Amino acid sequence: MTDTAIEAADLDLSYRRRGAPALRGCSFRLPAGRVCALVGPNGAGKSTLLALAAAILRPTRGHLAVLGTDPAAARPRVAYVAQDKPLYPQLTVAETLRLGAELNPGRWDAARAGRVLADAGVDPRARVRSLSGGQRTRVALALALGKRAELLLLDEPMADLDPLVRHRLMGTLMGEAAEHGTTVVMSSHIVGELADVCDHVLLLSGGRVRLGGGIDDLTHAHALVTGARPLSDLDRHTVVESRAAGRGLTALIRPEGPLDAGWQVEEPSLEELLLAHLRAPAVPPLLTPGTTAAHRGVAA
Amino acid sequence: MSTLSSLTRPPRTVLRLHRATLWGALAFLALMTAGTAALRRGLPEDGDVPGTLYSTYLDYAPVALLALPALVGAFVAGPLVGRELEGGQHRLAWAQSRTPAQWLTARLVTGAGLAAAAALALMGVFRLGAPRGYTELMWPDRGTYEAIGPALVAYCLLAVAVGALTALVLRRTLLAVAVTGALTTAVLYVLGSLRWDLVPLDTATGRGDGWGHRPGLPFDAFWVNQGVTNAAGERFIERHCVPERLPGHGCPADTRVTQWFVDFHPRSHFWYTQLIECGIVLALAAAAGCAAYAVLRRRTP
Amino acid sequence: MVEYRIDRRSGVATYLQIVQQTHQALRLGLLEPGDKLPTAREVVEATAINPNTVLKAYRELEREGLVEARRGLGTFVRATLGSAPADSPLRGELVDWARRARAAGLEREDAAALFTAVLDEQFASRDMTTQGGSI
Repeated sequence: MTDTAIEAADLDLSYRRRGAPALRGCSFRLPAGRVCALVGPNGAGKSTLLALAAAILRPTRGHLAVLGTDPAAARPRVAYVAQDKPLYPQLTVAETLRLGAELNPGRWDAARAGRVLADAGVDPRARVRSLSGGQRTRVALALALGKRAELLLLDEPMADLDPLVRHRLMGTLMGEAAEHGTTVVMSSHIVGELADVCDHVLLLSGGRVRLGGGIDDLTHAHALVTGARPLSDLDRHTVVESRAAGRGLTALIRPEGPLDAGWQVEEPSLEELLLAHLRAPAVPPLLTPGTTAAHRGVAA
Repeated sequence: MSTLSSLTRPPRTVLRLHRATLWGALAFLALMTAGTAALRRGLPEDGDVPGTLYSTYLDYAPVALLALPALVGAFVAGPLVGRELEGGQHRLAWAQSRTPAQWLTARLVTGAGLAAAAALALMGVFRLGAPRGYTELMWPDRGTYEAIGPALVAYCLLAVAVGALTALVLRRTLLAVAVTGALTTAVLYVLGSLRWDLVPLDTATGRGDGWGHRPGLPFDAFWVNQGVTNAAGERFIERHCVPERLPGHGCPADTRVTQWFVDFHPRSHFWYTQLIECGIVLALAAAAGCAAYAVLRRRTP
Repeated sequence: MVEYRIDRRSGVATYLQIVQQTHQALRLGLLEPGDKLPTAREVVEATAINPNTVLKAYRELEREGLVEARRGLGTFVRATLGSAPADSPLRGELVDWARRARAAGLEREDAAALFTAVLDEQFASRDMTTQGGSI
């Protein structure tokens, strides 16, 4: 297993020749073994990025390496579940798993796939079109996990699921990650629930990476300061966002050096951090050490 | 695991996905066979009694066969390739260990196999239903011509390739089905009009005006041009020029008939024409197939 | 098998909750030396948290000398927390002190606050946030 799960450098993708590109100048490095949250508003490019890493789409420009090679070569080692959990409606659950076995010769672990379904009591003879949303997600996940992949790419896997099902599926997913050290990338709108599960985050907005890195590293690199001081006192630091608070202000900053006395300092939560960056698109992006792409021109 | 089973595995996977359609097609085929046999029974061996159901069948069956390529194309452009692209299942298929090119190959191979089988089966049904001696005389007719030689199979293979290409380019099932049907029918029609120019005509001549016995002209020949010549060898149609020149038709100065002529294709030309036509159609199919792979390669790695 | 309960709203880091709950289990006698802790996979399937969090907690417990990881077998309890048995001299001294505090007119909350302050002084811990009396 390589130590880099995904590495992107200046990745661009345009669906149409004119019109806004879905991804522009996207660069980051995701170390292996992490559980990464891919967050951002609708249209930020999350689904596009996952599809590129899964070798479903071809980038317009830029460099992308998955598990150390190009995405097409890494296809057998990567599992991908698209947002709409595509399945063949006319097949039964058992036939769907058999399809997985046939399309992944030599890499299929029927026991692993079956375990995901057995816990939830999904009838293997049921046709896929008759399944509920949660059951369909389970079948799609079973297909992904049975492939014994080193990298799991999941596009909003838990959307439309009720909290209990979500909890159980997440538990199953994390169990797999625990046992095999799989790198997991999950995209979602719901930041809150991802904070416990994920240890790495990538914030995308407008097709660009705004934040990337280990969650702890990112929150340690920022500070929420409050005080009855003018904004110019913070000139030395990068101010992400500031708001008036009574006679003074409160600001989310990236401290570059010691802070003057007179500021109350707190560590921001992940949610505060992400929302502030979404509201302040002009702030330069921050990638923590070890998560920037290798210099362009050097083979990954 | 033998190589044979690993080669047939992808088509079997595809077949399992389209079980319902296949059973429907088989049922239709069984119905056609039974119906044809029923119509055929109780009629004179070589007879075709006008005004009966059987006669209507004989009139329309060959032309109905011409719809087969369009149907095959619709199946490929629709359920086989188009619906997977529109419904998003391709994102499931391409995320497994097989490449998108292998995915397309499995579908093309399955489609081609089914198309060839369907064509051969229906050709068999047609032969079953045709009276004795029918094909000897009717071989040049549209429908019959395709149904008694390899041409029908070739057109069906073309439809498979075109269906896959349009589904990949248009990515919308209904539109792809319509375009495939239109293209296949257009090719069939155009080539059908040009086919008799592919091989040079034979000519038979004889003294007199040709009424009555024409030696040198086989009974099963396909007459393309006929008329008479004057002493100088100029061709004209007797009816248009004797006893007087009818308006709108050209006639030579000397309208005394010396010889009759018939430009025709003998039965042996049937095979030459079939082979040349099949060659053209299969070349088009190959081009469409290559284009399909090129479109796919441009979209996914 | 001991089960961990993760309270996401408590403000305490997840891995710390696991460490604290393991301490609790040891104190209550739910775990004894030689017992096997649940595997990371089992914890994570039940609680849906990041597996690295569990590994971090187990590493912390190992650093405290309470557990040891045996390669291929799992993580096992090594020592108890040294909780005082019911009739130890420490307990007796505490009982005396509490009586004297009450006699001096201290309310229960005052006595607890004083005791906590002294504990904080004496057991100046690395990261641990104590919330409203942790014993």
